[in-house]
Amino acid sequence: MRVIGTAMKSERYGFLMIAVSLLVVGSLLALLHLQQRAERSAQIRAQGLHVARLLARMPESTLRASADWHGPLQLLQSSQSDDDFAYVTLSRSDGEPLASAAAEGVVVPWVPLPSAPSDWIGERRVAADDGPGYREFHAPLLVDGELRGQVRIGYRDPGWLPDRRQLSFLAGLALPVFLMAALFYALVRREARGLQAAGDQVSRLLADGVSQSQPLPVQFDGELGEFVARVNRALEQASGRVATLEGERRMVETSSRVLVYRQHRAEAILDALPEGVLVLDESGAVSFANEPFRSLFRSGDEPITGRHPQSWCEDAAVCQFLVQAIGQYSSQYNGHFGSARGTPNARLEVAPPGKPQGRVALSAHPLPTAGDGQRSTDSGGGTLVLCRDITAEIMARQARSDFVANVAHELKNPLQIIAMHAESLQGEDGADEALRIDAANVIHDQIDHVSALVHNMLSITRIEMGSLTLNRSRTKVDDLLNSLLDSHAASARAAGLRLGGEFPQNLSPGWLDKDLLRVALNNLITNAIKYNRAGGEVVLGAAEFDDGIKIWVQDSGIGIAADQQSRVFDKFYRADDDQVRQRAGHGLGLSLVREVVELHGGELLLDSQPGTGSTFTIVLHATTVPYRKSA
Amino acid sequence: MSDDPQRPRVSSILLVDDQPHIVRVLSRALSREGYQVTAASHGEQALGLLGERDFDVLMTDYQMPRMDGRKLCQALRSDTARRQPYIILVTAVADEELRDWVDQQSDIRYMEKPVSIRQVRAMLDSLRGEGAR
Repeated sequence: MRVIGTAMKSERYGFLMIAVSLLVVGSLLALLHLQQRAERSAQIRAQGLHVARLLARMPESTLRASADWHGPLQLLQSSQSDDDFAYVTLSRSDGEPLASAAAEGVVVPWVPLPSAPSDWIGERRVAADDGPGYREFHAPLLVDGELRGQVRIGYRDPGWLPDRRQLSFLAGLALPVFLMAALFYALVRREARGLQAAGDQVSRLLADGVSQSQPLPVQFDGELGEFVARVNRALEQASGRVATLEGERRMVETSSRVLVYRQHRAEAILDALPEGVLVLDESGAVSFANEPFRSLFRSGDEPITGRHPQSWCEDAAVCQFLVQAIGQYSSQYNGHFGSARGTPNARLEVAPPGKPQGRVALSAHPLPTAGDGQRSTDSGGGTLVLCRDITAEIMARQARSDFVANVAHELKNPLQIIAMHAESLQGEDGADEALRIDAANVIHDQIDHVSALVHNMLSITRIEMGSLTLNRSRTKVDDLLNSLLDSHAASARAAGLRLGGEFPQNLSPGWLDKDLLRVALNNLITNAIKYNRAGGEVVLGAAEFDDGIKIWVQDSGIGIAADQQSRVFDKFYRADDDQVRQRAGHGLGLSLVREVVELHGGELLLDSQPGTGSTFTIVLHATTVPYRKSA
Repeated sequence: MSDDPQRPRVSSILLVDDQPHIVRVLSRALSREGYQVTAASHGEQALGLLGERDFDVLMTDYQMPRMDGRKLCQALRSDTARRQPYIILVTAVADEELRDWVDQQSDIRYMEKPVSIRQVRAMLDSLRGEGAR
């Protein structure tokens, strides 16, 4: 469309050029004609006045010669080859013609002599009955000073249009001028065609994009050729520049996609962290909060990005902590939700909303400001808040602290008993046979107790270090159980408990670590006795089943609350229960039982009702207890 | 052991420990020294006995079922109407918190296990050697 438009425009310019050249030619011809007319007019005036005066000096009789005689008037008329000549006449002063000679078809008009003598000689316009009128020159005919008439010579008033002779001259002049204009236009058109093609090409380039441009296919010589060559060079450079820019744009686009991807990846990584992460920008608004943080401190789904802590943080202590951190680390914080007073706490420990038993630690860290592509060390670029659930850590810390106290108690008590009995043997008690035997028994029992505890601790340490391996041997399970019943009979009796066995006496032997299994069952039986009530009972049971053997220890003791059951196997853990705390213990026993059972590839099950009692069941599978055959 | 009127009376002892072996051997040893020893196996039992009669010395273990040594001491000290015995608190391990508490109780002696009979004897002697309270 644009190309067609340009072509039409170019045609219009062509017509305009022809019209202008015609106008110029016309104007030239008109000027020429006007000049010729003016010259002719001056010539006629000079000639007319001169001839009129000459004739007026002639004798009247000569002038009045008859028509058949070739007098001066006829002579004048015949000598005038001029088309403009109309008539020559001698007339009386009243205007009546006396003698005349006129061109063909001309009727000499009747014109009286002007009355004023000053107007007797001169030029005037005379109207004709049938035409444009005449230009008349007149002079008075005086005879002896007396006015006898006037001589008048009339010329046709030359029209505005050129006459035939002029016309051919003008045409002869106009034709080459017009032809020159046409030729010039044709030449210009020929040159312009190249420009037109170049223009069309440029139009297409603009439509298609400069990047696919080809050099202008037009060949020219001379200046236009140079111009086209320059345009081509400019196009080539522009096209190269466009290609570079396009490449850069693609790179920027790719970079931005990579950045978005990296941001999403970083957010996914942060979401997968166990720690809560909150990033506050320079103004203190949330830039990012990862999933753990949101789940700890946000109950609703409402996003918190872009919001200041005051508008979403429900916990007053946490809010205060965040505001202080922002005041310290976020340079553009305008203080519109409170000012930070004093030194900000680097750390805060609070119970998270809705979890009064839990404990989380918040820590605030400054973020660097944006540097010039370098890693900046200036803080003020915002605040990073890390949030860690330290419930387990605190419980473990407490458990370890309890453990130290418990182990000390468990070790020092037997040591004290041993020391005191040894001391008593050195004194008067040593002389008494019965006391001596009693003291020796007590010392022996306490050494067993200490030894078991030390064994437990060493075992669990070795299990933890991975250096404990099972030392399996063919083990008669019923023998092991019987010996356990024997060794705990005294302590059960002392506690006022019935200790009984419920297992067949022909249990199949197993491929087990007898010593470790004994430690595990010892711990279970010791616990069953310790956490029991006066008059209660403890049952050591066992039964074979298709896939292996179950060994259980059942007590009628205080039981374990449901929420504690998953934790009683944790190392150092002792239930937070007065009835448990009143009883000495180190929190290692059940942990070691579990480790031993797992080393054997078995399972440790717990069934417990507070106030009713607990049953711990060790399940050992045949696949992990090879050589299991009837004895 | 003489009843010197110039010296504080340290003759009746209430021994509180959940370990029967310790109670037995210590009772025997102190009885031979001339002390009147009464035994209890936990705090509640000891409070009951303290309600019945006065003792010159209360020697108690810290870690015991039902009522521990500290609670027993607090219960005893809160009863301002009664005659207050000397208190000896024996513990296997004293964490900082317990130690601070004991430091604040100027009239509670503190012994860390293992305690020998000789040390108990020396402690009682030192009580006897103190001026009137």
